[in-house]
Amino acid sequence: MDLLLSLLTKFFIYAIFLFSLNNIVIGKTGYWAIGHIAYFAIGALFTGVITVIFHFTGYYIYLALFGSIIISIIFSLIPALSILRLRGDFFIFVSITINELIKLLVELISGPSGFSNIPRPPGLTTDLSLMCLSSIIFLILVLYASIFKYHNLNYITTIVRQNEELAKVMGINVYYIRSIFIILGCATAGAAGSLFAFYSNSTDPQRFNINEAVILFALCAFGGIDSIRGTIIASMFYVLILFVLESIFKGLFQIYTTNITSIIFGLILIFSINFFPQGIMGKRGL
Amino acid sequence: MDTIIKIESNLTFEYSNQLLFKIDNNNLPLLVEQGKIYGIYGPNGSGKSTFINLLNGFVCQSEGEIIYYSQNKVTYILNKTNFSSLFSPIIISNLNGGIRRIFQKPSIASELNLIEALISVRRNAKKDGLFDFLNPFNLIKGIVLQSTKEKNEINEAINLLLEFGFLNTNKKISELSFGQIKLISVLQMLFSKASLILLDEPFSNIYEDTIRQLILKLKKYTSESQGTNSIIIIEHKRDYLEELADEIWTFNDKKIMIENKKNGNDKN
Amino acid sequence: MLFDLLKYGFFNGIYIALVSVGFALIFNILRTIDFSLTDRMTFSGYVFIISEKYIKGLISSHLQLPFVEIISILVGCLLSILSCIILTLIIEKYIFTPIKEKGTSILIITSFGISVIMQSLMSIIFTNSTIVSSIQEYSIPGIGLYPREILVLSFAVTIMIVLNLIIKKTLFGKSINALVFNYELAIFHKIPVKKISSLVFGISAFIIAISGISLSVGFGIYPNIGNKYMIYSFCACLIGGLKNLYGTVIASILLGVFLQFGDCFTSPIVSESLTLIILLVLLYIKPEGLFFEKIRVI
Repeated sequence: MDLLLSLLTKFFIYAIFLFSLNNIVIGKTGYWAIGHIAYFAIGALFTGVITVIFHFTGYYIYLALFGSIIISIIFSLIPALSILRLRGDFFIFVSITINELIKLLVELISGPSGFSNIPRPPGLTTDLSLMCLSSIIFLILVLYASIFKYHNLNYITTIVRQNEELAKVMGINVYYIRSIFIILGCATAGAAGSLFAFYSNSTDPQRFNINEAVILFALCAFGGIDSIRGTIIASMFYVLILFVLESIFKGLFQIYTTNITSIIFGLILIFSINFFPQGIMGKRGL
Repeated sequence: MDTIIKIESNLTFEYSNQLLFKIDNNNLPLLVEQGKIYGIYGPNGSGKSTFINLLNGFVCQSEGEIIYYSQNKVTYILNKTNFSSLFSPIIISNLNGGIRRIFQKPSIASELNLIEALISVRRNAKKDGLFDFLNPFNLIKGIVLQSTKEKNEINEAINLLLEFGFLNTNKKISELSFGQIKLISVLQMLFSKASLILLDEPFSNIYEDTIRQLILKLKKYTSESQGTNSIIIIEHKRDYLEELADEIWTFNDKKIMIENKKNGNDKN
Repeated sequence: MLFDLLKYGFFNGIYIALVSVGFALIFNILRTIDFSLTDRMTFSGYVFIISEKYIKGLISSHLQLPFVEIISILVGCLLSILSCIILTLIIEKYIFTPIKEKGTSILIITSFGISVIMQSLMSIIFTNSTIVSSIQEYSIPGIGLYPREILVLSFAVTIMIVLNLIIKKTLFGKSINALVFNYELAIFHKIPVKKISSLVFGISAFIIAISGISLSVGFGIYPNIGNKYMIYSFCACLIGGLKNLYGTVIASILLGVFLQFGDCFTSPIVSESLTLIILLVLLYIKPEGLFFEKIRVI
């Protein structure tokens, strides 16, 4: 039962993160933010800094959750402003650079093995409560996403994504629309990172490197870009694969878990991006 | 009649240090007035499309100013100093009643269906911010209200589509042929109710009978709504221009000249 | 002290320059950057270490030959370069060529996928720790340089001059340019696209293998070392511009010296972060520096 609860919590946290990458940033702006995991890292790092370095206790720990959203928003201004000058492939480059930079920042602040023993705030001490919180956040996100197609923003983002010049001619402020979605996505990712830090009680810098970023991008391509069901299935798949591999390679061979996951998802990425661009649930190609 | 755009007489456009065109109108500015159709005529490469891009803010002139008016008040001045390739097109297309254009190569977001493609041109920039979407109160209320409010628009769009033979209005743009996409982009302009529409060779790749139908529609577009809407149109076929335009601007020998001036009341 | 730093920085810059030249070569074919290049460098380094060790053991146990070390090093180099070229050609033929028309973004993502797979495979086989080749190096008295460094330097200079001559003067170089500017037209004019593409990939693999071998002897390699060099060379390419080989090389050497000074006076993490910040700023200021493409309107 505990195991199931733990898996579910992990699933919801990853689902929130994947939602921010798949349905908000890539889905609405059309820019491939490979290094989006940087904002996950920022959320986790900020939570660690607040609790481990500054020793916040009690209800003040909740500040970490809100603080990490704010810090993510601040850092998200880098890609959000970059779209004024760069487009297409350059956004991928900027995204990777930010990811590497944040990874180094995590190593600089938290040391090579990261923070450990991050306390949970009162009210979130059990896995059940954490799962409830993350599932509520995820449900709110899904609710908004399912209603999105009725709003004007739906076709505005479609036009912006598919033809920037056309959107400009229609008087759509392309840069505002794109940057607002990038900022929103980064804020959501920051919240997911903070929840992840509470869940795992630690921040391992290896969780935020470029391999992990590629894995998460592969999950998006696998599930289908901008598809809610795809996001859910992909994050479920990821959590299950991690669980299976972890239980196979216990103890001494634990190092193999991450590597084998990387290989699996690297293959999935190459396969799905080339032969299967719609993913399992998506309607839209890459 | 009110002026919408005044193009100063000293306007020149240079392309990599070579003069592309300048205005030759006895030192008088070119005026775009309400309720008129302006035709642009000239050989290939004489800068007709560039002129449209200029009016739309995509490129910047090397000298002179373009002044945009709304109800006799200056709303925007496009010159070398305040031109920004990123924001000028956005600002200009939102001026007064909206300025819309079609490109020579038709481009519509291919994921939209026909009705969405039409409705998307007639939009109100204030209502579609992210915060409007995220507001939970507006969220529930908005869906109900919007669906009723937009019903009229949708019906209008369906009627327009039916008139031009698009029976299946739920088709995606990506399923259409090149010529159909071109037609849809012209229909978008007709549907837009913008105060000025810029048409860059709208009749290429379109069936002749449909062109006749479109010409009638375009004429109606300027005469309807108290004659506040104007059109600038690039066309290679002289007949169509003679039939449509109140004023023809000829591009030749790196000069823009006003060729003939019909009295605005002739149409009636 | 200062001289030493400059020297180390210079040679570090040479490695970055070799990788950048590889990037530039592949850029000519794929029209984008192949991020799995540096992992093939790591791969060639591993192959060298293992084959050299194995051959040395084989020779000294079975045969009585003079110059055992030199023979094993030569054979190791040969094997490493060959395996790197074969691997590159396989990747080129079965992964990059079929998807070349799908756009540069897809190529970038695919190259990341390959990079991740290769890194994980290498860390499963060789573990995550740093491995240094067991070759004992003796510096040349008087100059204070290792023979290896002189070899790599002369190799780099030669390859730079030869490549520049080839691309500017010969028909081969012109057909590469034709490929860059118009792929369909190149096919139409019966330029042997596939051969040229394989050849360019092969040359890039050769250059990369040399730097990989040298790295494995000098500093030691670990599976993720590729990421580091990828970022550095990417930065150098951005400063120098990919179409301009000399500019890229000068930028790489400057970057190498900068990194060495940064490592010495602050810490490796800080100097790496500074490089990344420089890269980010460069991407903002000079986006056309990479591809020399002006952003046109309509």
